[in-house]
Amino acid sequence: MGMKGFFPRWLLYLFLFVLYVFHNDLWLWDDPTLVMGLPIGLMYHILFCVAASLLMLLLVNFAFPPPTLGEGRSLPSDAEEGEPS
Amino acid sequence: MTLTIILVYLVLVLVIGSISHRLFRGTGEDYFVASRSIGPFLLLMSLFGTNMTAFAILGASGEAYHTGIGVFGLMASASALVIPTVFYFIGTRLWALGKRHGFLTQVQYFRQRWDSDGFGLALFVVLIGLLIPYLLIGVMGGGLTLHQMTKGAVPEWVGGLLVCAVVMTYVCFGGLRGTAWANAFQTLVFMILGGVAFYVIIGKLGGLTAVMTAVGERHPDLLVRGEHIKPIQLLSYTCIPLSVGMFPHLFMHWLTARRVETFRWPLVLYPICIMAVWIPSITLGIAGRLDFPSLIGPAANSIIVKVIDLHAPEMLAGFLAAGVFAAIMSSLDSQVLSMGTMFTQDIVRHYGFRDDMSERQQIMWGRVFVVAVLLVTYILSLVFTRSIFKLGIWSFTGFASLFPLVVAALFWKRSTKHGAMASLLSVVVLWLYFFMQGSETAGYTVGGTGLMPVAVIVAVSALVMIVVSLLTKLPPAAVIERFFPSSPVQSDG
Repeated sequence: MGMKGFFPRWLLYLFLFVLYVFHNDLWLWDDPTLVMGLPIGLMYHILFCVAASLLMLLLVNFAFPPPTLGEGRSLPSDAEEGEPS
Repeated sequence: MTLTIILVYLVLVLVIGSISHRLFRGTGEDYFVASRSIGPFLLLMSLFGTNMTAFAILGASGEAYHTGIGVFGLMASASALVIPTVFYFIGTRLWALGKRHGFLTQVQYFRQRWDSDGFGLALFVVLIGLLIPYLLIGVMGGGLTLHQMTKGAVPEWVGGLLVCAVVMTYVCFGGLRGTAWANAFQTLVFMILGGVAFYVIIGKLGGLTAVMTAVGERHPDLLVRGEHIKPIQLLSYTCIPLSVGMFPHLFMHWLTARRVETFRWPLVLYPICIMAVWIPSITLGIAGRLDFPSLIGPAANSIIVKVIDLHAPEMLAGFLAAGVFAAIMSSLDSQVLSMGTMFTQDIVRHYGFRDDMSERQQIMWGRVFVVAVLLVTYILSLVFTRSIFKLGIWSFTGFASLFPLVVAALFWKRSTKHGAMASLLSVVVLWLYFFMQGSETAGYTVGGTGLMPVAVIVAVSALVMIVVSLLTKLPPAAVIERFFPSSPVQSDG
């Protein structure tokens, strides 16, 4: 996967931390402005959910699976008889 | 009309559960973890549906009614980041360990990880103790909802009995596969109905801008965080969703994944599902203040029901009741099954049969415990008062406080059984202390500072784990090698 190196694992983990920090939107604490009918403090956290989803999309594309069961240990194989679901 | 819709809905759930039984393979592993064969869609729906209780949805709208938009940041968006992150780092690892070593419960994993039967038993007691209030809330919530929705025509005990009977039937019949199928259906139901209720009611009130402008004029404090929430509360509240790392019912659902890639879409879509459920819940809670401005305390938890009664046609009220039932049962079923699995595997199989139990015996005992757990829960629900709901809130704190255990077990070779036991003990002591301090105070924080007790307990239990582990002897080398192999090994799945 040539694209894997595009977002190194450490960078995505850093994004996770940065996003976590941005959860604390102190700058909108007392701002009642409406954006598309919603208070900006609520709209911010709705967009935060979208950002969390996009970051997960990057994680599952560029840093998946996470290092599992110790260095070098391979993952268990698929179930022998999976069912469609 | 409402009662008819609910009854039709319950029959549909039973039909889905019984259809899933046709795929039953007759093994313990199939009954308890669906032969680890679940795909991404079912995994997402069952993880989300299990974690999203009706109590959370109705309680959140009641909280938004009192404190405004800040509830979304506290309870929803924090979970949108923390929960998938826990799934990514913890869930995938536990799935891999479960598949490799055949674990069916958390206790089996922790017992072997630290080579300690004593710790396994202590953890079992704590997990069961924290799960019981949840089960009670589910059964009592079902009774209460039906009672309210039918305007008192159906007594609470009948509603609770109905929930128990339906859950017992499809969980006994279908095991975890039946539970996952029913969860998927029920999760879709409450997500769709929440969206429809939001669209119809906000439309009737003149649109979002009109509603929020009116709220801004009459109750401007609801459109900002203001004094309702303190910044330290927003920060420390992010510890609460760590509870998913130690929920027995989520552990069980992780184990059902067919392969590690099965986790991909659930990780990506989990925050979107949270958004889809919580936007209606919070906005309708706030909008309800316009029509019902003087509800006090827990009375606000029925604000969505009241708003729908006022603004939506009766049929929608019936569908909403079905949606609330869906949310209740999609959590209750997994919790009951996980408890049945724990009693079967961690007590009967481990102590009674010395881990040598036939497939048939495992299934039989699993079913017996599902029935027993529901029966006991139902009887308790008739005895306990509604004050048990307060205990439910504290259960979250308890599970989240156990998070350092799973982190140490998975990532720290040097952690020891003594460290784990001391950490568990610190959680029990501090949880009891804070519970006694704050159980009678709504929105209790440490010393009124805004700091959530969970943040203190997590920090202390992590510190205790580190210090005691460093002072005590490592587990045997073979145990460490089993869980942290030093060289690559072949896949053995």
